[in-house]
Amino acid sequence: MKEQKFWNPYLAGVGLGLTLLSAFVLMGRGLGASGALMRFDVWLLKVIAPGHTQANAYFSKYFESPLSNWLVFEVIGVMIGGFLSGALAGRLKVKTGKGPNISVKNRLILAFIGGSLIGFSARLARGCTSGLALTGGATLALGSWAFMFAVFAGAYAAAYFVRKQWI
Amino acid sequence: MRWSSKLIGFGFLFVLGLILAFAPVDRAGHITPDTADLVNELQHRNYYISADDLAHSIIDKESGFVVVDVRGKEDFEKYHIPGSVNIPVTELLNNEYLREAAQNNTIILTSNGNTLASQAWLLLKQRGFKDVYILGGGMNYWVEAFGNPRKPTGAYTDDELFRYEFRKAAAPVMMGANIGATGTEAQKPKISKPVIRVRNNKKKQFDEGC
Amino acid sequence: MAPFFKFGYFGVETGYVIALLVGISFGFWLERAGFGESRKLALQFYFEDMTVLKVMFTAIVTAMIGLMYFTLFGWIDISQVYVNPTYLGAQVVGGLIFGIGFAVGGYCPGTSVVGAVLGRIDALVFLGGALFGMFVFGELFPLLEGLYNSGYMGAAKITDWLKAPTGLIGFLVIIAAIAMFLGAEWAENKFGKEPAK
Repeated sequence: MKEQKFWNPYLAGVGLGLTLLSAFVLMGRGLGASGALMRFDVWLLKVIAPGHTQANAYFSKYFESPLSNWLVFEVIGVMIGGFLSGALAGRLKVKTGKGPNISVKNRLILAFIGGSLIGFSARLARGCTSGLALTGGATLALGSWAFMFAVFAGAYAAAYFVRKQWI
Repeated sequence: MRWSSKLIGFGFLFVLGLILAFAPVDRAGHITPDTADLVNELQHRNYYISADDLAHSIIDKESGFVVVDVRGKEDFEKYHIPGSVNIPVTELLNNEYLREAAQNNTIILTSNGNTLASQAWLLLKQRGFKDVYILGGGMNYWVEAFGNPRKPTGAYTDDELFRYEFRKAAAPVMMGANIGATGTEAQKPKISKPVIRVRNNKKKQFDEGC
Repeated sequence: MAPFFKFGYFGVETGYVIALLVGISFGFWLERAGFGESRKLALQFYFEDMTVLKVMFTAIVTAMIGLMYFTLFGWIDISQVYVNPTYLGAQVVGGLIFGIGFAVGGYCPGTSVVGAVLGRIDALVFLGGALFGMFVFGELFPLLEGLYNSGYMGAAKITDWLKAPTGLIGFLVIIAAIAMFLGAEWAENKFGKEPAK
Protein backbone atom coordinates (compact mmCIF):
# COMPACT_ATOMS: atom_id res chain seq x y z
CA MET A 1 0.00 0.00 0.00
CA LYS A 2 1.27 3.43 -0.88
CA GLU A 3 1.96 5.78 2.02
CA GLN A 4 -0.63 8.50 2.21
CA LYS A 5 0.10 12.12 2.96
CA PHE A 6 -0.26 13.43 6.51
CA TRP A 7 -3.40 15.39 7.12
CA ASN A 8 -3.44 19.15 7.33
CA PRO A 9 -1.91 20.21 10.68
CA TYR A 10 -4.77 22.58 11.49
CA LEU A 11 -7.30 19.81 10.93
CA ALA A 12 -5.29 17.43 13.11
CA GLY A 13 -5.04 20.18 15.72
CA VAL A 14 -8.81 20.65 15.79
CA GLY A 15 -9.20 16.87 16.10
CA LEU A 16 -6.79 16.76 19.03
CA GLY A 17 -8.45 19.78 20.62
CA LEU A 18 -11.89 18.17 20.41
CA THR A 19 -10.45 14.98 21.93
CA LEU A 20 -9.05 17.03 24.80
CA LEU A 21 -12.34 18.89 25.18
CA SER A 22 -14.28 15.63 25.35
CA ALA A 23 -11.96 14.45 28.14
CA PHE A 24 -12.72 17.68 30.03
CA VAL A 25 -16.46 17.38 29.48
CA LEU A 26 -16.72 13.68 30.31
CA MET A 27 -14.12 13.26 33.03
CA GLY A 28 -13.22 16.76 34.19
CA ARG A 29 -9.56 16.06 33.44
CA GLY A 30 -7.23 16.22 30.48
CA LEU A 31 -4.96 13.88 28.58
CA GLY A 32 -1.58 12.46 29.56
CA ALA A 33 1.17 10.07 28.66
CA SER A 34 4.19 10.20 30.95
CA GLY A 35 2.15 9.35 34.05
CA ALA A 36 1.24 6.01 32.51
CA LEU A 37 4.86 5.38 31.54
CA MET A 38 5.87 6.10 35.14
CA ARG A 39 3.37 3.57 36.41
CA PHE A 40 4.68 1.00 33.97
CA ASP A 41 8.25 1.83 35.02
CA VAL A 42 7.47 1.28 38.69
CA TRP A 43 5.69 -1.96 37.87
CA LEU A 44 8.82 -3.16 36.02
CA LEU A 45 11.08 -2.12 38.90
CA LYS A 46 8.79 -3.91 41.30
CA VAL A 47 9.32 -7.13 39.38
CA ILE A 48 13.10 -6.65 39.36
CA ALA A 49 13.75 -5.26 42.84
CA PRO A 50 10.60 -5.18 44.98
CA GLY A 51 12.19 -4.22 48.31
CA HIS A 52 14.27 -1.44 46.86
CA THR A 53 11.33 0.05 44.96
CA GLN A 54 9.06 0.00 47.98
CA ALA A 55 11.65 1.81 50.10
CA ASN A 56 11.90 4.68 47.61
CA ALA A 57 9.83 7.70 48.60
CA TYR A 58 9.02 8.62 45.01
CA PHE A 59 8.36 5.20 43.48
CA SER A 60 6.11 4.11 46.33
CA LYS A 61 3.60 6.79 45.28
CA TYR A 62 2.98 4.74 42.15
CA PHE A 63 2.98 1.41 43.94
CA GLU A 64 -0.18 -0.17 42.59
CA SER A 65 -1.16 -2.53 39.85
CA PRO A 66 -0.32 -0.88 36.54
CA LEU A 67 -3.92 -1.19 35.36
CA SER A 68 -5.42 0.84 38.18
CA ASN A 69 -4.91 4.23 36.66
CA TRP A 70 -7.03 6.17 34.18
CA LEU A 71 -3.99 7.27 32.20
CA VAL A 72 -2.88 3.70 31.62
CA PHE A 73 -6.14 2.90 29.83
CA GLU A 74 -5.78 6.12 27.90
CA VAL A 75 -2.28 5.24 26.71
CA ILE A 76 -3.43 1.75 25.69
CA GLY A 77 -6.01 3.63 23.62
CA VAL A 78 -3.24 5.78 22.12
CA MET A 79 -1.48 2.62 21.00
CA ILE A 80 -4.64 1.28 19.36
CA GLY A 81 -5.51 4.62 17.75
CA GLY A 82 -2.00 5.23 16.47
CA PHE A 83 -1.80 1.70 15.08
CA LEU A 84 -5.18 1.97 13.32
CA SER A 85 -4.36 5.31 11.78
CA GLY A 86 -0.93 4.11 10.66
CA ALA A 87 -2.40 0.92 9.17
CA LEU A 88 -5.09 2.87 7.28
CA ALA A 89 -2.46 5.19 5.82
CA GLY A 90 0.05 2.46 5.00
CA ARG A 91 2.65 3.79 7.41
CA LEU A 92 3.36 0.61 9.40
CA LYS A 93 6.99 -0.09 8.69
CA VAL A 94 9.96 -1.15 10.80
CA LYS A 95 12.58 1.55 10.34
CA THR A 96 14.58 4.19 12.14
CA GLY A 97 13.56 7.80 11.70
CA LYS A 98 16.58 10.07 11.11
CA GLY A 99 18.17 12.62 8.82
CA PRO A 100 20.36 11.51 5.87
CA ASN A 101 23.69 12.39 7.52
CA ILE A 102 23.75 10.13 10.58
CA SER A 103 24.23 6.40 11.05
CA VAL A 104 21.46 4.27 12.52
CA LYS A 105 23.62 3.38 15.52
CA ASN A 106 24.36 7.00 16.42
CA ARG A 107 20.72 7.92 15.95
CA LEU A 108 19.68 5.19 18.39
CA ILE A 109 22.26 6.34 20.95
CA LEU A 110 20.91 9.89 20.72
CA ALA A 111 17.34 8.57 20.94
CA PHE A 112 18.22 6.85 24.22
CA ILE A 113 19.92 9.96 25.62
CA GLY A 114 17.01 12.16 24.57
CA GLY A 115 14.55 9.68 26.06
CA SER A 116 16.41 9.69 29.37
CA LEU A 117 16.36 13.48 29.51
CA ILE A 118 12.64 13.52 28.70
CA GLY A 119 11.80 10.83 31.25
CA PHE A 120 13.75 12.64 33.94
CA SER A 121 12.35 16.09 33.20
CA ALA A 122 8.76 14.91 32.73
CA ARG A 123 8.82 13.64 36.32
CA LEU A 124 10.48 16.83 37.56
CA ALA A 125 7.91 19.07 35.87
CA ARG A 126 4.99 16.75 36.79
CA GLY A 127 3.95 16.15 33.21
CA CYS A 128 4.84 16.15 29.57
CA THR A 129 3.64 17.74 26.35
CA SER A 130 0.22 16.11 26.63
CA GLY A 131 -0.48 16.13 30.35
CA LEU A 132 1.07 19.46 31.22
CA ALA A 133 1.41 21.58 28.07
CA LEU A 134 -1.78 20.65 26.16
CA THR A 135 -4.09 20.03 29.12
CA GLY A 136 -2.86 22.91 31.23
CA GLY A 137 -2.58 25.15 28.20
CA ALA A 138 -6.29 24.82 27.53
CA THR A 139 -7.24 25.48 31.17
CA LEU A 140 -4.79 28.43 31.25
CA ALA A 141 -2.69 26.89 34.03
CA LEU A 142 0.23 29.22 34.74
CA GLY A 143 2.85 26.50 35.23
CA SER A 144 1.84 24.80 31.99
CA TRP A 145 2.48 27.90 29.93
CA ALA A 146 5.82 28.46 31.68
CA PHE A 147 6.70 24.83 30.90
CA MET A 148 5.69 25.20 27.25
CA PHE A 149 7.88 28.25 26.67
CA ALA A 150 10.77 26.57 28.51
CA VAL A 151 10.41 23.49 26.25
CA PHE A 152 10.61 25.56 23.07
CA ALA A 153 13.52 27.58 24.49
CA GLY A 154 15.45 24.44 25.45
CA ALA A 155 14.75 22.72 22.15
CA TYR A 156 15.76 25.68 19.95
CA ALA A 157 18.90 26.16 22.05
CA ALA A 158 19.90 22.50 21.70
CA ALA A 159 18.85 22.13 18.05
CA TYR A 160 22.07 23.58 16.63
CA PHE A 161 24.22 20.98 18.36
CA VAL A 162 22.32 17.99 17.02
CA ARG A 163 21.61 19.38 13.53
CA LYS A 164 23.60 16.55 11.88
CA GLN A 165 21.00 14.15 13.20
CA TRP A 166 18.04 15.68 11.41
CA ILE A 167 19.05 17.91 8.49
CA MET B 1 -4.56 24.04 1.42
CA ARG B 2 -4.59 27.44 -0.23
CA TRP B 3 -4.07 30.71 1.56
CA SER B 4 -7.65 31.83 1.20
CA SER B 5 -9.08 28.93 3.21
CA LYS B 6 -6.43 29.42 5.90
CA LEU B 7 -7.34 33.09 6.18
CA ILE B 8 -11.02 32.22 6.50
CA GLY B 9 -10.10 29.86 9.35
CA PHE B 10 -7.97 32.46 11.12
CA GLY B 11 -10.70 35.06 10.67
CA PHE B 12 -13.28 32.73 12.20
CA LEU B 13 -10.93 32.11 15.13
CA PHE B 14 -10.50 35.86 15.59
CA VAL B 15 -14.26 36.44 15.69
CA LEU B 16 -14.73 33.66 18.26
CA GLY B 17 -12.03 35.28 20.38
CA LEU B 18 -13.48 38.76 20.00
CA ILE B 19 -16.84 37.53 21.31
CA LEU B 20 -15.07 35.93 24.29
CA ALA B 21 -13.26 39.15 25.10
CA PHE B 22 -16.58 40.86 25.78
CA ALA B 23 -18.46 37.86 27.16
CA PRO B 24 -19.00 37.47 30.91
CA VAL B 25 -17.19 34.12 31.13
CA ASP B 26 -16.19 34.61 34.78
CA ARG B 27 -19.69 35.54 35.89
CA ALA B 28 -21.08 32.52 34.06
CA GLY B 29 -18.56 30.36 35.91
CA HIS B 30 -20.02 31.35 39.27
CA ILE B 31 -23.52 30.06 38.75
CA THR B 32 -24.63 27.59 41.36
CA PRO B 33 -24.88 23.98 40.26
CA ASP B 34 -28.31 22.78 39.23
CA THR B 35 -30.35 21.27 42.05
CA ALA B 36 -31.27 18.37 39.80
CA ASP B 37 -27.59 17.68 39.17
CA LEU B 38 -26.82 17.81 42.87
CA VAL B 39 -29.63 15.41 43.73
CA ASN B 40 -28.26 13.11 41.07
CA GLU B 41 -24.79 13.44 42.54
CA LEU B 42 -26.05 12.66 46.04
CA GLN B 43 -27.85 9.57 44.80
CA HIS B 44 -25.08 8.11 42.71
CA ARG B 45 -21.91 8.97 44.48
CA ASN B 46 -21.14 7.87 47.98
CA TYR B 47 -21.32 10.92 50.18
CA TYR B 48 -21.99 8.96 53.36
CA ILE B 49 -19.38 8.27 55.98
CA SER B 50 -19.98 5.31 58.26
CA ALA B 51 -20.23 5.75 62.02
CA ASP B 52 -17.35 3.35 62.59
CA ASP B 53 -15.05 5.21 60.20
CA LEU B 54 -15.82 8.48 61.92
CA ALA B 55 -15.27 6.96 65.38
CA HIS B 56 -11.89 5.63 64.23
CA SER B 57 -10.93 9.05 62.97
CA ILE B 58 -11.94 10.66 66.26
CA ILE B 59 -10.03 8.12 68.34
CA ASP B 60 -6.95 8.45 66.16
CA LYS B 61 -7.23 12.23 66.58
CA GLU B 62 -7.03 12.71 62.83
CA SER B 63 -7.19 16.26 61.58
CA GLY B 64 -8.77 17.66 58.47
CA PHE B 65 -12.45 17.21 59.24
CA VAL B 66 -15.14 19.02 61.20
CA VAL B 67 -18.32 17.31 62.35
CA VAL B 68 -21.25 19.72 62.06
CA ASP B 69 -24.42 18.81 63.95
CA VAL B 70 -27.35 20.47 62.17
CA ARG B 71 -30.04 19.58 64.74
CA GLY B 72 -31.61 22.07 67.09
CA LYS B 73 -29.92 23.24 70.29
CA GLU B 74 -31.97 21.04 72.65
CA ASP B 75 -31.20 17.88 70.74
CA PHE B 76 -27.54 18.75 70.63
CA GLU B 77 -27.41 19.31 74.34
CA LYS B 78 -28.92 15.90 75.03
CA TYR B 79 -26.06 14.16 73.35
CA HIS B 80 -23.62 14.81 70.57
CA ILE B 81 -20.51 13.42 68.94
CA PRO B 82 -17.40 14.49 70.85
CA GLY B 83 -15.76 17.44 69.15
CA SER B 84 -18.77 18.21 66.97
CA VAL B 85 -20.03 21.73 66.39
CA ASN B 86 -23.70 22.65 66.64
CA ILE B 87 -24.93 24.76 63.75
CA PRO B 88 -28.70 24.34 63.32
CA VAL B 89 -29.70 24.01 59.69
CA THR B 90 -31.46 27.38 59.76
CA GLU B 91 -28.23 29.14 60.65
CA LEU B 92 -26.05 27.13 58.30
CA LEU B 93 -25.64 29.68 55.56
CA ASN B 94 -24.75 32.67 57.70
CA ASN B 95 -22.15 30.89 59.76
CA GLU B 96 -18.71 32.48 59.58
CA TYR B 97 -16.97 29.67 61.40
CA LEU B 98 -18.26 27.08 58.95
CA ARG B 99 -17.10 29.05 55.93
CA GLU B 100 -13.64 29.38 57.42
CA ALA B 101 -13.42 25.77 58.53
CA ALA B 102 -14.56 24.48 55.14
CA GLN B 103 -11.57 25.97 53.41
CA ASN B 104 -9.20 23.38 54.81
CA ASN B 105 -11.47 20.69 56.22
CA THR B 106 -13.90 18.07 55.15
CA ILE B 107 -17.32 18.94 56.54
CA ILE B 108 -19.25 15.96 57.93
CA LEU B 109 -22.93 16.71 58.50
CA THR B 110 -25.05 14.87 61.00
CA SER B 111 -28.69 15.04 62.09
CA ASN B 112 -31.00 12.58 63.79
CA GLY B 113 -31.49 10.51 60.65
CA ASN B 114 -30.28 11.19 57.15
CA THR B 115 -32.99 13.59 55.98
CA LEU B 116 -32.02 16.86 57.60
CA ALA B 117 -28.33 16.28 56.95
CA SER B 118 -29.05 15.56 53.28
CA GLN B 119 -30.98 18.81 53.00
CA ALA B 120 -28.08 20.62 54.63
CA TRP B 121 -25.73 18.91 52.16
CA LEU B 122 -27.75 20.25 49.22
CA LEU B 123 -27.81 23.74 50.72
CA LEU B 124 -24.06 23.81 51.23
CA LYS B 125 -23.27 22.32 47.83
CA GLN B 126 -25.45 24.94 46.16
CA ARG B 127 -23.52 27.61 47.96
CA GLY B 128 -20.31 26.27 46.48
CA PHE B 129 -18.97 24.20 49.38
CA LYS B 130 -16.92 21.42 47.80
CA ASP B 131 -15.92 18.90 50.43
CA VAL B 132 -19.10 17.95 52.27
CA TYR B 133 -20.10 14.51 53.53
CA ILE B 134 -22.93 13.05 55.59
CA LEU B 135 -22.73 10.74 58.60
CA GLY B 136 -24.62 7.67 57.41
CA GLY B 137 -27.62 6.95 59.63
CA GLY B 138 -27.05 10.10 61.66
CA MET B 139 -27.30 10.26 65.44
CA ASN B 140 -29.94 7.53 65.64
CA TYR B 141 -27.52 5.00 64.26
CA TRP B 142 -24.67 6.48 66.27
CA VAL B 143 -26.52 5.96 69.55
CA GLU B 144 -27.54 2.47 68.49
CA ALA B 145 -23.97 1.60 67.61
CA PHE B 146 -22.19 3.10 70.58
CA GLY B 147 -24.92 3.52 73.21
CA ASN B 148 -25.65 -0.15 73.37
CA PRO B 149 -23.32 -2.17 71.15
CA ARG B 150 -24.92 -5.50 70.30
CA LYS B 151 -22.84 -8.59 70.34
CA PRO B 152 -23.11 -10.36 66.99
CA THR B 153 -25.10 -13.55 67.25
CA GLY B 154 -25.18 -16.70 65.19
CA ALA B 155 -22.43 -17.28 62.69
CA TYR B 156 -20.48 -14.06 62.87
CA THR B 157 -17.28 -13.21 61.06
CA ASP B 158 -14.07 -11.91 62.56
CA ASP B 159 -14.89 -8.50 61.14
CA GLU B 160 -18.21 -8.38 62.95
CA LEU B 161 -16.60 -9.40 66.20
CA PHE B 162 -13.88 -6.83 65.76
CA ARG B 163 -16.49 -4.14 65.11
CA TYR B 164 -18.37 -5.12 68.25
CA GLU B 165 -15.21 -5.03 70.34
CA PHE B 166 -14.32 -1.68 68.89
CA ARG B 167 -17.77 -0.24 69.54
CA LYS B 168 -17.79 -1.51 73.10
CA ALA B 169 -14.38 -0.03 73.77
CA ALA B 170 -15.21 3.24 72.06
CA ALA B 171 -18.66 3.64 73.62
CA PRO B 172 -17.67 5.61 76.74
CA VAL B 173 -15.81 8.18 74.64
CA MET B 174 -18.36 8.38 71.87
CA MET B 175 -21.32 8.80 74.23
CA GLY B 176 -19.30 10.92 76.66
CA ALA B 177 -21.37 14.04 76.24
CA ASN B 178 -24.52 12.34 77.48
CA ILE B 179 -26.32 14.52 79.98
CA GLY B 180 -25.79 13.42 83.56
CA ALA B 181 -22.86 11.25 82.70
CA THR B 182 -20.31 13.93 83.29
CA GLY B 183 -21.33 16.77 85.55
CA THR B 184 -19.25 19.67 84.39
CA GLU B 185 -19.42 19.26 80.68
CA ALA B 186 -23.10 18.51 80.65
CA GLN B 187 -24.10 21.83 82.23
CA LYS B 188 -22.63 23.87 79.47
CA PRO B 189 -21.80 21.93 76.36
CA LYS B 190 -18.63 23.50 75.21
CA ILE B 191 -18.16 23.78 71.47
CA SER B 192 -14.65 22.59 71.02
CA LYS B 193 -13.36 23.99 67.80
CA PRO B 194 -11.13 21.51 66.06
CA VAL B 195 -7.82 22.88 64.96
CA ILE B 196 -7.95 23.78 61.29
CA ARG B 197 -5.16 22.01 59.54
CA VAL B 198 -4.45 21.04 55.99
CA ARG B 199 -6.72 18.21 55.00
CA ASN B 200 -5.32 14.89 53.96
CA ASN B 201 -6.55 13.98 50.53
CA LYS B 202 -7.41 10.40 51.32
CA LYS B 203 -10.72 10.55 49.56
CA LYS B 204 -9.26 11.63 46.24
CA GLN B 205 -10.18 9.01 43.67
CA PHE B 206 -7.04 9.10 41.64
CA ASP B 207 -4.17 11.32 40.82
CA GLU B 208 -5.23 13.42 37.88
CA GLY B 209 -1.89 14.78 36.76
CA CYS B 210 0.12 13.51 33.86
CA MET C 1 -24.10 19.32 33.78
CA ALA C 2 -20.53 18.57 32.77
CA PRO C 3 -18.01 17.28 33.76
CA PHE C 4 -20.24 14.22 33.83
CA PHE C 5 -17.90 12.01 35.85
CA LYS C 6 -17.60 14.57 38.65
CA PHE C 7 -21.36 14.82 38.92
CA GLY C 8 -21.74 11.08 39.22
CA TYR C 9 -23.33 10.29 35.86
CA PHE C 10 -21.14 7.19 35.69
CA GLY C 11 -18.60 5.35 37.81
CA VAL C 12 -14.89 4.67 37.73
CA GLU C 13 -15.21 1.56 35.54
CA THR C 14 -17.12 3.43 32.83
CA GLY C 15 -14.42 6.06 33.18
CA TYR C 16 -11.83 3.49 32.15
CA VAL C 17 -13.81 2.67 29.00
CA ILE C 18 -13.95 6.37 28.22
CA ALA C 19 -10.18 6.56 28.84
CA LEU C 20 -9.67 3.90 26.20
CA LEU C 21 -11.92 5.67 23.67
CA VAL C 22 -10.39 9.09 24.33
CA GLY C 23 -6.95 7.50 23.99
CA ILE C 24 -7.85 5.93 20.64
CA SER C 25 -8.92 9.32 19.33
CA PHE C 26 -5.77 10.93 20.78
CA GLY C 27 -3.50 8.36 19.13
CA PHE C 28 -5.37 8.58 15.84
CA TRP C 29 -4.98 12.35 15.54
CA LEU C 30 -1.34 12.27 16.66
CA GLU C 31 -0.59 9.76 13.91
CA ARG C 32 -2.64 11.67 11.30
CA ALA C 33 -0.60 14.79 12.04
CA GLY C 34 2.59 12.83 11.38
CA PHE C 35 3.75 12.76 15.00
CA GLY C 36 4.93 9.16 14.72
CA GLU C 37 7.96 10.38 12.76
CA SER C 38 10.80 11.75 14.85
CA ARG C 39 12.33 13.71 11.98
CA LYS C 40 9.08 15.53 11.24
CA LEU C 41 8.82 16.50 14.92
CA ALA C 42 12.45 17.58 15.17
CA LEU C 43 12.44 19.70 12.00
CA GLN C 44 10.22 22.07 13.99
CA PHE C 45 13.37 23.24 15.73
CA TYR C 46 15.04 24.20 12.44
CA PHE C 47 11.97 26.17 11.21
CA GLU C 48 11.63 23.72 8.33
CA ASP C 49 8.42 22.00 9.35
CA MET C 50 6.18 23.89 11.77
CA THR C 51 3.63 21.10 12.24
CA VAL C 52 4.32 20.70 15.97
CA LEU C 53 3.58 24.33 16.70
CA LYS C 54 0.52 24.44 14.46
CA VAL C 55 -1.05 21.26 15.83
CA MET C 56 -0.27 22.05 19.45
CA PHE C 57 -1.65 25.56 19.45
CA THR C 58 -4.66 24.65 17.33
CA ALA C 59 -5.46 21.93 19.86
CA ILE C 60 -4.99 24.22 22.86
CA VAL C 61 -7.06 27.01 21.31
CA THR C 62 -9.83 24.60 20.26
CA ALA C 63 -10.16 23.05 23.71
CA MET C 64 -9.86 26.45 25.42
CA ILE C 65 -12.58 28.02 23.25
CA GLY C 66 -14.77 24.98 23.90
CA LEU C 67 -14.34 25.24 27.67
CA MET C 68 -15.04 28.98 27.67
CA TYR C 69 -18.16 28.80 25.53
CA PHE C 70 -19.48 25.81 27.48
CA THR C 71 -18.96 27.81 30.67
CA LEU C 72 -20.76 30.74 29.09
CA PHE C 73 -23.73 28.56 28.18
CA GLY C 74 -23.76 27.06 31.67
CA TRP C 75 -23.05 23.55 30.38
CA ILE C 76 -19.91 22.89 32.39
CA ASP C 77 -18.88 23.69 35.96
CA ILE C 78 -15.37 24.92 35.23
CA SER C 79 -14.39 24.73 38.92
CA GLN C 80 -14.70 20.93 38.66
CA VAL C 81 -12.20 20.72 35.81
CA TYR C 82 -8.69 19.76 36.84
CA VAL C 83 -6.07 22.52 36.66
CA ASN C 84 -2.44 21.45 36.75
CA PRO C 85 -0.75 22.79 39.90
CA THR C 86 2.00 25.31 39.29
CA TYR C 87 5.50 24.64 40.59
CA LEU C 88 7.25 27.40 38.68
CA GLY C 89 10.84 26.43 39.50
CA ALA C 90 10.40 22.73 38.78
CA GLN C 91 8.42 23.38 35.61
CA VAL C 92 10.81 25.94 34.09
CA VAL C 93 13.90 23.81 34.81
CA GLY C 94 12.03 20.67 33.79
CA GLY C 95 10.83 22.36 30.61
CA LEU C 96 14.34 23.38 29.58
CA ILE C 97 15.68 19.84 30.05
CA PHE C 98 12.58 18.49 28.31
CA GLY C 99 13.24 20.78 25.33
CA ILE C 100 16.83 19.58 25.05
CA GLY C 101 15.61 15.99 25.24
CA PHE C 102 13.04 16.74 22.54
CA ALA C 103 15.66 18.07 20.12
CA VAL C 104 18.08 15.22 20.89
CA GLY C 105 15.61 12.36 21.03
CA GLY C 106 13.08 13.58 18.47
CA TYR C 107 10.00 12.50 20.43
CA CYS C 108 8.00 13.33 23.51
CA PRO C 109 6.36 10.60 25.64
CA GLY C 110 2.98 10.53 23.83
CA THR C 111 4.40 10.67 20.32
CA SER C 112 7.02 8.00 21.06
CA VAL C 113 4.20 5.59 21.96
CA VAL C 114 2.66 6.27 18.54
CA GLY C 115 6.04 5.91 16.83
CA ALA C 116 6.67 2.61 18.60
CA VAL C 117 3.40 1.01 17.44
CA LEU C 118 4.16 2.12 13.87
CA GLY C 119 7.40 0.14 14.08
CA ARG C 120 9.89 2.96 14.49
CA ILE C 121 12.97 1.53 16.20
CA ASP C 122 14.18 4.92 17.41
CA ALA C 123 10.83 5.41 19.18
CA LEU C 124 11.24 2.11 21.02
CA VAL C 125 14.77 3.01 22.07
CA PHE C 126 13.51 6.45 23.10
CA LEU C 127 10.85 4.81 25.29
CA GLY C 128 13.52 2.67 26.90
CA GLY C 129 15.47 5.83 27.60
CA ALA C 130 12.40 7.51 29.07
CA LEU C 131 11.84 4.61 31.47
CA PHE C 132 15.51 4.83 32.43
CA GLY C 133 15.26 8.60 32.97
CA MET C 134 12.26 8.15 35.24
CA PHE C 135 14.15 5.52 37.19
CA VAL C 136 17.08 7.93 37.62
CA PHE C 137 14.69 10.64 38.80
CA GLY C 138 13.20 8.31 41.39
CA GLU C 139 16.64 7.28 42.64
CA LEU C 140 17.80 10.88 42.93
CA PHE C 141 14.48 12.06 44.37
CA PRO C 142 15.85 12.81 47.88
CA LEU C 143 18.36 15.20 46.30
CA LEU C 144 15.82 16.78 43.96
CA GLU C 145 12.95 17.21 46.37
CA GLY C 146 13.72 20.88 46.96
CA LEU C 147 13.66 21.69 43.25
CA TYR C 148 10.67 19.41 42.69
CA ASN C 149 8.58 21.49 45.10
CA SER C 150 10.01 24.91 44.25
CA GLY C 151 7.82 27.81 43.24
CA TYR C 152 4.55 26.24 44.37
CA MET C 153 1.57 28.48 43.58
CA GLY C 154 -1.36 26.07 43.80
CA ALA C 155 -3.72 25.60 40.87
CA ALA C 156 -2.86 29.08 39.58
CA LYS C 157 -4.19 30.26 36.24
CA ILE C 158 -2.87 32.98 33.97
CA THR C 159 -6.04 34.88 34.78
CA ASP C 160 -5.17 34.91 38.51
CA TRP C 161 -1.63 35.96 37.79
CA LEU C 162 -2.55 38.85 35.47
CA LYS C 163 -5.77 39.56 37.38
CA ALA C 164 -7.56 39.78 34.04
CA PRO C 165 -10.97 38.38 33.04
CA THR C 166 -10.96 34.90 31.52
CA GLY C 167 -12.59 35.95 28.24
CA LEU C 168 -9.98 38.64 27.63
CA ILE C 169 -7.10 36.23 28.26
CA GLY C 170 -8.80 33.78 25.90
CA PHE C 171 -8.90 36.47 23.22
CA LEU C 172 -5.21 37.29 23.77
CA VAL C 173 -4.25 33.60 23.52
CA ILE C 174 -6.17 33.37 20.24
CA ILE C 175 -4.43 36.48 18.86
CA ALA C 176 -1.05 35.05 19.89
CA ALA C 177 -1.92 31.72 18.25
CA ILE C 178 -2.95 33.40 14.96
CA ALA C 179 0.28 35.41 15.00
CA MET C 180 2.27 32.22 15.53
CA PHE C 181 0.41 30.45 12.71
CA LEU C 182 1.16 33.29 10.29
CA GLY C 183 4.80 33.27 11.43
CA ALA C 184 4.93 29.49 10.95
CA GLU C 185 3.60 29.73 7.39
CA TRP C 186 6.18 32.39 6.63
CA ALA C 187 9.01 30.33 8.15
CA GLU C 188 8.04 27.22 6.21
CA ASN C 189 8.12 29.17 2.95
CA LYS C 190 11.52 30.62 3.79
CA PHE C 191 13.37 27.72 5.46
CA GLY C 192 11.46 24.63 4.31
CA LYS C 193 13.80 22.91 1.85
CA GLU C 194 11.41 20.14 0.99
CA PRO C 195 7.64 20.11 0.85
CA ALA C 196 6.14 18.78 4.06
CA LYS C 197 5.40 15.12 3.48
